[in-house]
Amino acid sequence: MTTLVELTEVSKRYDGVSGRAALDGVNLAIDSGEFTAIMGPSGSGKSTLLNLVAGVDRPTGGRVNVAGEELSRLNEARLARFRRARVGFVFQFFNLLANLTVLENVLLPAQLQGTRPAQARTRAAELLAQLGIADLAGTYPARLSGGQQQRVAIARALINQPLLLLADEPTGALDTHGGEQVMELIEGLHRDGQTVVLVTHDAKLAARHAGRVVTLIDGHVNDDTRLDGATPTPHNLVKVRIPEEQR
Amino acid sequence: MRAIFTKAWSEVRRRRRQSAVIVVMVALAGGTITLGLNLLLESSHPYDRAFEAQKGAHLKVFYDASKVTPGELASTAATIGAASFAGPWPDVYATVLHREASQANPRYQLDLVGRAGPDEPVEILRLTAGRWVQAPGEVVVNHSFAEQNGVHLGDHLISLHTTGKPVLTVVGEAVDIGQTSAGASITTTQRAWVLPAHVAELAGEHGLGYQMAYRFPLAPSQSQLRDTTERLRDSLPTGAVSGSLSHLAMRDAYNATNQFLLVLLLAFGVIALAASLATIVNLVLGTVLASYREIGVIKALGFTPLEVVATLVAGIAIPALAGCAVGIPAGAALSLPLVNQAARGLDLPSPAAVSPFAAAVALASILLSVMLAAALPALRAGRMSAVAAITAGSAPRSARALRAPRQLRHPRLPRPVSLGTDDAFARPLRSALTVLAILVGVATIVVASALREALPRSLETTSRLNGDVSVSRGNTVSDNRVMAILTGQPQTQQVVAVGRGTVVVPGLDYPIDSIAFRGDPRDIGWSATLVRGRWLGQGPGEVLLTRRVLDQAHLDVGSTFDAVIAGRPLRLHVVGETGSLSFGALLAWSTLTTAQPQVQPDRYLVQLRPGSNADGFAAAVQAQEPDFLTITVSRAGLDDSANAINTLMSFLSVILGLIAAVGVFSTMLLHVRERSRDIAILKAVGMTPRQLLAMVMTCGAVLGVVGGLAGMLAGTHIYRGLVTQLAHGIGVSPPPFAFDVLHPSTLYPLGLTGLAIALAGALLPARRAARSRVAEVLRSE
Repeated sequence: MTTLVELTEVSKRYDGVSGRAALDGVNLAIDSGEFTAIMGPSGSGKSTLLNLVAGVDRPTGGRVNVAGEELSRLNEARLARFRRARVGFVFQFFNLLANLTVLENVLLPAQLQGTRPAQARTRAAELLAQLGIADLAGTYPARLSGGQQQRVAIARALINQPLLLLADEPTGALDTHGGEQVMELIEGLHRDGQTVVLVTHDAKLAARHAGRVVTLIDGHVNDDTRLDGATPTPHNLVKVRIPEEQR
Repeated sequence: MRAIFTKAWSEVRRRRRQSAVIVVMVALAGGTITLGLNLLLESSHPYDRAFEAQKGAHLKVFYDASKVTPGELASTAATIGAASFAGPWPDVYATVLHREASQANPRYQLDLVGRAGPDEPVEILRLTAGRWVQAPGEVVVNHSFAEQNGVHLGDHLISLHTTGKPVLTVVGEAVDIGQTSAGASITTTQRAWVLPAHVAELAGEHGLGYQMAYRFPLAPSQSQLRDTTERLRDSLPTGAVSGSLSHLAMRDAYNATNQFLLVLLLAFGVIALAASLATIVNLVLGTVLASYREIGVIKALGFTPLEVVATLVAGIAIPALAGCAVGIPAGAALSLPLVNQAARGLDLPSPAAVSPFAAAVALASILLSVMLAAALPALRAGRMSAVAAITAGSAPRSARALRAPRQLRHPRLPRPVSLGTDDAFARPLRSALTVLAILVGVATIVVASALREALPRSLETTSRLNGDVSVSRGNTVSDNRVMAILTGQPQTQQVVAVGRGTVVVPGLDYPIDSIAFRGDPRDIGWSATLVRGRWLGQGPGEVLLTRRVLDQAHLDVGSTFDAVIAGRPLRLHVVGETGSLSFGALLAWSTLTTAQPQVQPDRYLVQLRPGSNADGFAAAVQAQEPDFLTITVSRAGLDDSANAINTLMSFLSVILGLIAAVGVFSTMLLHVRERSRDIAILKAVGMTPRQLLAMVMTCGAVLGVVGGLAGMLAGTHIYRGLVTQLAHGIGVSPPPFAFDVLHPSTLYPLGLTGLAIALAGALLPARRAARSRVAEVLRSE
C-alpha cells in the first residue's frame, strides 16, 4: 500500500510563536485505501489536522505531504487547484451555498476544475443517484433535511473523484438515524476503494466504521490503533508503536 | 446608559474598517450636502437678495438738466410717494479711450455719474477694489466693466469728447445692483462715477443730465411704475424726463442671462443632496443588517428592545458624528470659493461667508438619515427574540434571494463570473442604491463634459455674430464716411450695417427691441441663430421673431400681424424663428426704412478676408477717425459665468464620482463580509484567489455597467433638459449645435466611467476576499 498522506513533525500555533499549540510535532502516515478516524476531546487539534491535510490551513512547522505534493510549497492558487482535484471535504454543518440548487452545489468543484459541462452533469447525476437524492437536484438547500444536505455535501466532495475524502464530524449536526445513514454511505465509499479520513468525537462510531483510530490529546498523537477482525472491539486493537517522545 | 454607550463604542472599535467607511462616506456626503445647500441658497432669488441688501432703486429716472433744476427734482420723491430717494446725481455720456488696454482701439461709452460717496439712502454701491473718488480726475468704474475689458486700478480713461481730453484715473471698482453685466444688455452703457462737481467740466458742450433713484414702501408692479413715471412727467416741465429704468426690467434681464447658472446650481445642488443621502442610507442599512447576530447576543444578556435600538443607533451615530465634524466644515470651506465664483458669474457681490444655516441643515439631515436608517432595521431586530436574531444573523442566506436573469447565467460564462453576476442581484435594494450612486456620478460627468464642449462653442458662435470687427459710430461721423473707411480697407471682405429700433407687437405690453441688417449677415454667423423657417428676404415686410415673442403674441412661423415701428403701422410676415439673445425681432433694412426712411445704421459688422490681422485692421480704421469710432475686435473666450459653470461641474463630477466609488466600496465590503462563509466554502472546494477576485469584481462590474448605462442616458436627458430650460427661460429655442456635443464617440466612453468607478470601488474588497483564510472563517462558525 502506498502512503497517501504523511505529516512530519507538524506543528500549528495560533497567535504567534508563543501562542497556543493546536498541534505539536505530529507525525502521521495514512495509506491509500485506509479509513482513518481522528479522535480526541474538544481542542485536541482534530479539525486543525484535517485542515492542514486539506490545504485550507498552513502548518507553523513541519511538512504535510499529500499524494506526493508537499503542501507548504504551494501558493494559494496551487493549493486551491490541488484541493479541487485531489481532496473532497465534508463539513459538520454541510456548508452548502444557499443560493445554488443541489445540482449547482454538486457541480461547483467540477466547474472550477474546467470539466466539460456534459461530463460534469453526467458524473453529478450518477452521484446523486448513488446517494439517493437524484429527485432533489433542483431544490435549494434550505428545503432539505440535515441528512439530505450532508449527502449533497458528500456528492460535491466526490464530483472530481478525489484521492482523499476528508470528513469533519459529518454526523455532528444530524440525528442518530441521519448520522447512521451518512456513515453507512461513507463506509460504502471506503469499501469501493476511497481513502477516508474522518474526524469524530464519537468512539463507537469510530470503532464501528474505521479501520484505524488516531487519538489526539492537546495537539499530540496519544494513540494510534489499527482495528482488526470482524467485530472491532478494543480487545482486537493492534497497537502501532508510538515514539517515546510523543506519548 | 453606560452599558449602551460601552457596547456601542466597542462595536465602533471592533468594526474599525466599517466605522472608517462610515466616517469617510459621511464626511464626503456632509461636505457635498453643505456645498449643495450653499449653492441652493445662492441660486434662490439671488438678484432679489442682493437688490434688498444694496437698497436697489425700484425706479431710476433720467432727466434733462436743461429743463429741470435740482431743487425741482428734490421734491419729486414726495410727488410720487417714494419712501426714500437718492440724487439728483449729475451725469453725462462720454466716449473714453482706455490707455493701458492690451488690445487696440479700446474705446467705450460710459455714463459718468457724479456721486459724493458709495453709500446713499438708495442704490448703495459696494466697493470691490480700491476706494471712492476724492478729487477731480479720478473715476470709479463698474466691476463688470472692469472685468470684461481688463481695466485695472491705476489705469487711465481719456474722455475723448471733452475739450482738452481730460484723463481719468481709475481708483476703485464697485458693484452696482442697478446695472449688472446683464443690465448692460438693456442700458448698453456702463456707469462710472466721478465727483459731482467734475461732471459739468466733463460734459463740456454735451448734454448734462440728472439721475434720481427712488424706493417705494412696497415693490411696485409694472403698471404702477408706468403710472408713477406718467405722474412725474406731468409734474415737471415738458421734456424734463428723458428716460426711466425699472428694477423689474433689470431683474428679468438678470435672471434671463443667468438662468443657466441658476438652474444648474439648483439642479446639481439637489442631485448632490439626494446622491449623498441615498449612499449613507445604503451603507447604514447594510451595517445594521450585518449586526443581527450581535443583537441576538446582547438581547440574551438582558438588553431591552429599546436599549438594543439605542445601542445600534449609537454605534452608527458615533462615526457619523465624526464624519460630520470633518466633512461639514470642509464643505463650508470649499463652498466659499465656489459660491464666490458663482456670485462673480452671476455678477453679484461675493458673500462674506457661507450660510451657517446650510451647515446646520446638513448636520441635521445627515444625523436624521443615519439614525432613521439605523433605527428602522434595529427596531425589527429589537422586537425579535434573542434566538431569532442570532439565527437571522448566522443562518445562510435564504434561497429566495434574487438571481441574475438567465441570459446572464449562460453556461459558457466562467463560473466565478456567473456567481458574481448572481451576487449583484441578490440584494436588490442595496444594489439599487449603489446603482443610483453610480448613475448620479456618471450623469454629472456626462453633463459636465457636454457643457465643457458646448459652452466655448456657444460663446464662439455668439462672438461671431459681431463679425471679426465691429465698429460703432456716434452722430459726428456719417454713415457714408464710415462705409467708405471700412470698404476702403483691403482686408475687408464684407460689411453688414446694423440699425436698431423697437417694434410694437399686438398682445405684448411693451415694444420689443429689434435689429435690422443692411447686407446679408448670414455669412458672419447669423445663420446659426435661425431655429426654424427661413432667413429674411430682401423685400420689406418680413421678420424673424424669438420664441418668447411668438409665444406671448400667440404667433408662429407663417403668421402675419400688424406691427408699429416708430409710430408707423406696418404689416409684417413671420418667416422664421430666431435664437437671438439680445433682440426680439430681426428685420431686413428695407422693412426698417419703410417705417423710418431717415434711419441710419449706428453699428457695422465687418468680416475680414481669411488670414487678415484683426488688430491691424482696427488700428488702420481708428487712425482714420481716431475719436469718433469705437472699434471692437471680436475675441471668443470664457466669461465669468462660463468659468463658474465649468468649475462647478468639474468639482461636482469629482465629488459625486468619489461618492459613487466609496458607495461601491462600502457595498462590496459589506457583501464580502456577509459572504465570508460562502467565500471560505468556495475556497475550500477549490476556487483560486484569482477566481475569487474575478467573482467579486464581476459583482461590482455588473453594478457599474448598469449604473453607467443609466447614468449616460440620465446625463443626456439632464443636459437636454438644462439646455432647453435655459433657452426657454430666455425666450428662445435651443440652437441645434447645442445638442451636437452628445454624439456616440463622446457618450460611450463617458458611460464606461460607471464601470471604472465600480471596479475602483470593488478592488480592495475583492482582494480582501481573495486573501481570506478558509480555516479561520470556518473555525469561527
